[in-house]
Amino acid sequence: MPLHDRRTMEGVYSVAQTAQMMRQYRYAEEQMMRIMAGWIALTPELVVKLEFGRQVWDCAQHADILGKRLPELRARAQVSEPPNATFVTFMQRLANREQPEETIERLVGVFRVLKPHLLSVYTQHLSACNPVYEPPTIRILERLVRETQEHILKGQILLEDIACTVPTRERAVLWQLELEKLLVAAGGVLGRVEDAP
Amino acid sequence: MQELLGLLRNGLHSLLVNTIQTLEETGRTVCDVTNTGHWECTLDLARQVWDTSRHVEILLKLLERVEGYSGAYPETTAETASAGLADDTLAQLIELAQKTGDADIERALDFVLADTNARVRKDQAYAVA
Repeated sequence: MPLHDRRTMEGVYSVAQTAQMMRQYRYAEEQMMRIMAGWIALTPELVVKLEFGRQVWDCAQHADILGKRLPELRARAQVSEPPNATFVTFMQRLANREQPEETIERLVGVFRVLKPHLLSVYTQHLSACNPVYEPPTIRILERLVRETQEHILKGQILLEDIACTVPTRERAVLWQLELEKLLVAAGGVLGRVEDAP
Repeated sequence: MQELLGLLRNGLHSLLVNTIQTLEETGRTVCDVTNTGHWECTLDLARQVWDTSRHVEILLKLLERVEGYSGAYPETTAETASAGLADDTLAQLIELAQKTGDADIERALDFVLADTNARVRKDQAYAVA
């Protein structure tokens, strides 16, 4: 039986839409890199400090590969763009937990809210990519999905260890809820329908 | 031999304290200073953050090996760890490890030294450009 390529030519996103999404993902990754880098000095727990250090480099590389893809999509290289002002506010709220005793809030913001959201968006985008004409985007998204999953797992392990009492678990859940509300109001990293150009 | 091990333990501890300080400072730089800088420079600093956090891990493991631990000695962090200073300290510690006959410590520190040498070369390239 002869080999038959069964891939179809159906697609979801245009070149311009893909570039727009890449800029928005890049915004989240770049901001996350800067936020975690700044938190290193503010976090007393050495094990968390070192995990932030590792993930700063991973987020920087994510921002870099997304930024390098942009010229291939008729857009300027290494440009980040937030979807809307509410998402910027969400990122600022997430970043502002800077007291030494707020490690739980820092971990929750990144590993329970932002990264799980990004993982979901990257995975959905990946499933919508056409395998014939979008392999470069697919490769990038596959890496983002794989590494973001690893990050979430590591963050969860740290959280389980640090938020190990009922009151600290409550703190974690309440902060997660507050951030989730803002994230929903922003429409996530891709924004609301009305934000679309 | 005990005296050599004591010197090695003390030296590793000092280097650990300085390296944690460097990690915090470099992280702060990625967060604050490079917001308007060139992306390549930011990327390079982010790599430096990762390298430094790996060095902290290495030093913690080595301290354990010589029966030391973080916080064993009072340290001042007034002396900011420059790459050049770290180079000298690392070279001295490698020599001490050789004298104690611990090839694993010697090898691990040499990897840290190689990273630090690479960092100095990059910093020099930035200074020229």
